Amino acid sequence: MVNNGRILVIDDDKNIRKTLAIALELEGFFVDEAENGKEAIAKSHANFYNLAIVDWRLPDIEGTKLLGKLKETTPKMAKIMLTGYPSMTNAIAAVNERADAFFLKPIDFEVLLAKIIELLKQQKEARAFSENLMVNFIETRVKEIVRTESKTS
Amino acid sequence: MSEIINDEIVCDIIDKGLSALGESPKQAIWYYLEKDFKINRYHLLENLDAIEKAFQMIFGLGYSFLEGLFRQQLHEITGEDLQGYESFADCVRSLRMKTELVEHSVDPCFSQQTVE
Repeated sequence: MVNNGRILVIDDDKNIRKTLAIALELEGFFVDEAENGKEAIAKSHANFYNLAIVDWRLPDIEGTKLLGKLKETTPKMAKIMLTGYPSMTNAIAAVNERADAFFLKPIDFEVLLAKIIELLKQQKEARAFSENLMVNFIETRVKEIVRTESKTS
Repeated sequence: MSEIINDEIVCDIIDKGLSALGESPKQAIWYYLEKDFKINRYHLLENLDAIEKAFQMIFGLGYSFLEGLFRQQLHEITGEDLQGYESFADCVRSLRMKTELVEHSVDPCFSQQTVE
């Protein structure tokens, strides 16, 4: 299967980060990595990512706070939270910061992959919808212009 | 400045700029430019003002976003500072004049006649 989404994996645990990156690359995604919040914010400023996988505990920032920062750089980026510390408080915080999904470590890669594909599909559909709106706008504007021009000439 | 600004380059710049709107809106714009504004995408140099006017009519103030993208593309190709020009059409015209001047100026290295 060929996937062409761009994914940013943010985790200070090198093993998890690398394993996820390799597994996702094998699925056809373009994957970039960041080991802390600062690097993640810098990379999301410089590049476009469709989706970010964010670890809950990062050395310099809490994962939920990073979600808010990533929303500022790329508002439509889908975000998946990972945590090794399941609690209702964490889940509520993730929902409040608009995480699109919440996964517990150890991760079941097949389930994560299915979620990523679903989120990217939703993103694609949303983009197609906005493009349709834009095409409608262009068509309407051109018709108005042509009508006005023909009245004046 | 290495590139000579021609129809193909201007078309490419505008095409890349319009890509920011998405593939379908881009195709729609090229279609209506040709159909209703009689602007041929392969002869843009002679229609620079007409295409800007068409964009302004379609997008209103929103055209400034697209114009910024066109200027950015032009800057990437030519490396020229494009501040101070009133419009994208002015930028293109001015850069074309510059390249034409450079092309027609006599380079002292090549001005000596070769002795056979």
